[in-house]
Amino acid sequence: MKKLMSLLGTLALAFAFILPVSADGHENAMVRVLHASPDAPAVDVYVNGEVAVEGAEFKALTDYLTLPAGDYNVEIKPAGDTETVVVAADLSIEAGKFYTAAAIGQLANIEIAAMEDDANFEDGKSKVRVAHFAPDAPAVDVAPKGGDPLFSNLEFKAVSDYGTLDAGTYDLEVRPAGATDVVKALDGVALEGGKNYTAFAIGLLEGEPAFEVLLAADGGEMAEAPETGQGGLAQTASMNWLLAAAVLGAAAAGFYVFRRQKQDA
Amino acid sequence: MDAKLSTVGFAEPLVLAATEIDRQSFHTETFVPERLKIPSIEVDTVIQPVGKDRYDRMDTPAEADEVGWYRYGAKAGAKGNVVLSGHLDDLQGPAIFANLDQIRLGEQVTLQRNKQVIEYEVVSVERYRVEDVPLASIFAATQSVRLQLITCAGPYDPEHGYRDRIVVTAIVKQ
Repeated sequence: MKKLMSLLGTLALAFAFILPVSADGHENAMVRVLHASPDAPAVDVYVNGEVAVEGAEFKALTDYLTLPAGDYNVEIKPAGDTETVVVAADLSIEAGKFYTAAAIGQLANIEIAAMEDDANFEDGKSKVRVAHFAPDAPAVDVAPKGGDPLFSNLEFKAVSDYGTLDAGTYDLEVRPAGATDVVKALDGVALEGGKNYTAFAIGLLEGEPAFEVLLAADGGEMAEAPETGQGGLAQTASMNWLLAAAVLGAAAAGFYVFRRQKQDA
Repeated sequence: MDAKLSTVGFAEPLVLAATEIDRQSFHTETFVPERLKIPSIEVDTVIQPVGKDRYDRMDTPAEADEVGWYRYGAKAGAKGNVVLSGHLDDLQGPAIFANLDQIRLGEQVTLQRNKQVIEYEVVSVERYRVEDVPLASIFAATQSVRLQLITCAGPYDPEHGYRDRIVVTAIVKQ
């Protein structure tokens, strides 16, 4: 294998293609964190003992973090406090996959819910799911205004499967499961084609912070960092030197030929 | 490889509410960018859509004085990451992003298509080893309306190319 690699290296050099430095580039997983514990303080998130997110408050959703696939220990600590662990969990993440880890529940019962996010996109369609992370809310349905539920009977801690909708703008409502009264109206929910979404229901029905629904786009089309140079700037100095050497060499050769011709004459 | 974990930023998810959103603006304000202008480093160039090369890297345009737009990412003005790559140099010398690392926080970056214009403001200029580039912050979904400009930096090795990448992040001006 090593031989093959060095052969490939030589070939790459010959064709002036530059191989990605990290051979394990495709082995990354993508993880983001949601703070959905209504009465927990702002927190820092540690991944295998290293701080990865600082000062996340309730309702904060991070961007995706790039991590090599593998097993991790995730610890949540109060912001700025390196000693106290609020909650911890082990997380196993696979290459090429996207995950959301959410701190959910009231502080007294806080736990980490991890879910895989769908990064397979369909042109003109939106895949959508609902996560019920509002600890004091009953089981809910999510439906188009006045219509039949798209997502039924989701209890606290439940995350629905993805449902596929045509891209467009929807007026939705959250209702107690099986009922028609409206817990929360969600008007003008814009879903772009070729994107997937998770709607996170968070907060408290009774008290503060109040119940609300966050919408986040999931996944993404990952790539390695682009190759954006050919070394022209870095090699300017050595190129000049080589050029000078070549000129001197040519001059010396010319002189030699000139001398020989003279001798021959 | 002892990659230092770089702290990740926040995504500002949309709070859904029972208030009408301007539905027209949702479909009309975003566009495939065709021109990039960064006055502070004298960049004014054509943008070409690019995909990925055979090593799964974001591609860059063949022309050293043009910039590539990652077509799997966001359109100009859209929620998500608009990702642009440009060459630091070619075999002859400096290319379009030769001075990208000179850009300063708060400076303006403009994307255009005909009369459509979106302005972004630089919020970070970072340099990473290529293996430490926070790829998910650049290529994965985010709720921010963001622009990522990428070029090479650092020592050059004919086998591995440039060691580092410059990543300039800008957010849309409100």
